[in-house]
Amino acid sequence: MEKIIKLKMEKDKSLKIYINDEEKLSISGDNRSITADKIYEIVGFTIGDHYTITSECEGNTDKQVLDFFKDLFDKIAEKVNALNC
Amino acid sequence: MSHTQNSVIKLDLHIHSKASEYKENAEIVTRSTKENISILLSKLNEHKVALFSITDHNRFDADLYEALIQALNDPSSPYPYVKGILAGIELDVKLDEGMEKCHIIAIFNAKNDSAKLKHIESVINSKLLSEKNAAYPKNQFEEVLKEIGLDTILIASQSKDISNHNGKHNALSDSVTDVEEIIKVGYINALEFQKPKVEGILINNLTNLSLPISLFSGSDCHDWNHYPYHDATNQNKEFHHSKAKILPTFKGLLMAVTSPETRFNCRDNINNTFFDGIHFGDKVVPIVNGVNAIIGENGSGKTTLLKLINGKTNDSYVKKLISENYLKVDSDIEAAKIKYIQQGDIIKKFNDQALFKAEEGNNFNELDNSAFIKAFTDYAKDLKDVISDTINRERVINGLSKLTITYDESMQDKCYYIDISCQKGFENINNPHAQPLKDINDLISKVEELNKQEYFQVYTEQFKLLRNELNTIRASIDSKNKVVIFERNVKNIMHGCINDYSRKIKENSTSKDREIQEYNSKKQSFIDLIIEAIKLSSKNLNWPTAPSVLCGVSTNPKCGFNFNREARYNDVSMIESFYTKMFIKRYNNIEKLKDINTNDKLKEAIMNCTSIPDMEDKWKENLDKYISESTKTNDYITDGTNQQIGNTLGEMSLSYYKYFTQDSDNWNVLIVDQPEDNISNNNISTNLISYFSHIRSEKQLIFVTHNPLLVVNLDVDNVIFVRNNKGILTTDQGCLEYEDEQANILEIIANNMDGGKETIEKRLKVYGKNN
Repeated sequence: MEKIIKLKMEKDKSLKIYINDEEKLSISGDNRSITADKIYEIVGFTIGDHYTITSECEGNTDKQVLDFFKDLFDKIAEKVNALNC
Repeated sequence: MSHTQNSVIKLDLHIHSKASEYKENAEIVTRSTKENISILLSKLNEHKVALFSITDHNRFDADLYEALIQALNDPSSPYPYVKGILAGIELDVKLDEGMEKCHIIAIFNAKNDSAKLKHIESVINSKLLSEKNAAYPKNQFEEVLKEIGLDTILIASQSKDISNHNGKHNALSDSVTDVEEIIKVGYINALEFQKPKVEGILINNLTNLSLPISLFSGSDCHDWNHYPYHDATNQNKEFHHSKAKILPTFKGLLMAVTSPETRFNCRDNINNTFFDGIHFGDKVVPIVNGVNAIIGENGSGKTTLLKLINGKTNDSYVKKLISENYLKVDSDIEAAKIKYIQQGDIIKKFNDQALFKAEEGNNFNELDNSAFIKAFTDYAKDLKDVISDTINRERVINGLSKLTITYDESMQDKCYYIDISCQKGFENINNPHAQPLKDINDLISKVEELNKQEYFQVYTEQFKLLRNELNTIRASIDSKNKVVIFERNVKNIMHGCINDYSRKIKENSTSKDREIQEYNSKKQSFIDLIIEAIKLSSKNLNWPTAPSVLCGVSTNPKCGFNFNREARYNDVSMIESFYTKMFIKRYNNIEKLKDINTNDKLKEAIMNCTSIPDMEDKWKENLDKYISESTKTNDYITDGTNQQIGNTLGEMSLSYYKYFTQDSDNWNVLIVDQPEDNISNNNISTNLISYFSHIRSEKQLIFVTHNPLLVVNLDVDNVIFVRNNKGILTTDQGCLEYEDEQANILEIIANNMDGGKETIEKRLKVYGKNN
């Protein structure tokens, strides 16, 4: 199954995570923290799935934060996709 | 057949002559006279009777005997089958008061000596019974025998069941109230029957006596013209001659009555591969296809002869004796057909614990210890895990007291970058499916393996169903296992990526952000430790239960024995031994181990462990040592009734011979140097002799011995007496009863074997000591 993970930085500086267009989590701009377990849970990694990461930044708000975060997801997706090959 | 050897011959010790006529009504003996001995001898020759006796009713015709002896001694005798005659009389005797008379045939060792024959006649004539129905009372009967003064064999007529005392048949049971008793005391040496069915009755009667006694058939021929029948009208068509393996002499007969089990009803040896002689230059010393005993002083060359026969002639002293005496054995018997037990072989094998192991593979089956090893390896692992859990719990709980974190309001400020915390052991996921998957795979492999075996071919369809079911289970477990492995791999990837991410944002963070990240990291560690402490505190410490008592024995039934290999752990609890090997005394049970809550204590508890880094190695070392010692095996043998045979050298030797003589399919000749070694005389008499007897008509036995029991009581077929005079070997040889001017085998045994005289006397005790 194809899974598209979209990371979106909102104007209010919250960062939202969508899986196949369904919002799974919002990281508040006031408390930018998350656990590894939570990431694993919301993505719902499953054998055979293929992951694509996209991002969107409303008005360039904290763009570097989003870029770093997307870079993390890109690397994870690249390696997990390789597992499924 | 050498003249020194006995053979199976026919005998008839009950023939009358004219001398019996005073008791006979009809003139059935009038032609059975000295003038007609050719008729009798022709008839005997026709029936191949080798040994006979004229046993007239209470009479003895010495002239008739002399004529018969003369005829037999004629070198051109036309009666080649007729070899010998023994002096005898059929006496009417009343043994017990108030009982009737019986007929007893007395055979005398007159050695065909004219004077002795005349003496017998003279004694009988001096106490002549004149009345037809008269009989000697017991005392007078004994006086007659005493006055005759020759070694005597007494054969009583018994023409019916021994419990029949009706007094009408001149049978022993008509004359004594207790037939068994008179046989047991040796007063009567043999019984005579005439009809085969009576032989059957007597065999049945005497089975209960547990005393071997010879049974003879006698023709009771009166009219020689009608031999082997009584006379022209009284013809017992069922009559058959007795056969015995003897020389046709008194001594031969004596051997027969003292060892009926080996001398009567002999069959020809079925063995067709055997040695037939040893060449001493031009002379050949026969070896018979039966039991051969080589006797002689120490150093006389007996063992050399055995080695020569067996082709083991490498020793220099053997070579020398062979060369100087021109010894040779003609044989093309292949080595595999010969079993050679050298002197000391059994002791060596016993000491090397190789007895019963050296022959055609090991009789003791290998033992499968895998169940025991798995049980204790698992137990040790579980024990180690639970001790580790105890130590960890203690460590973590103690560690909490040393860990502090101060709440800092300023650290609650937001970070610019997203902080990702990764819990300790994030990727360490327990996989409950790994072991079950391995187990089911092992099981499937085992099933596949069995299915390939010929034995299980008939169950192919069932195996197919079984494999399908097992594969379904495996697929299910495998699927769950893959999910866990995938989760572990993904989390591991995430952990690595998060670490890189954290480094990256750290490099790009302000000092304040870094401080916040470190604070958060410390806070996460604090939380992790508390969670771990809670988990460990709430975790049940499952102390393993000791493995159950296991079976550790293999049994191989063979030749009436069970060859058992038993491990030390068989059928006994080994837990105490486990603790003794694994831990020092203070910690040698599970309750004491529960006190261990630090690595220091564990180090102290483990046997021979002096440092914490060594704990792992010492644990394994101790466990290996324990398993190695527990799986050591003891081999023992039980007989068919599961009675363990003794472990002493003597008992093992005896069992070895028993086994050997029963496991005799693939060999023909047994050569033994001193089989008596280490075996008590009692066991030789009661056991070893019967083991050798068991194969005497199927194999050739050749042994060297110093024990007269193995010669006299085994009733060997051939004795070879070896002398060594300064390197020159000479021999005398023959069956036990053989004697001539130069050699008397029984005398040689009596004079040259320790206890020989006593052994012979014991066998022949009822015949006096001058044999």
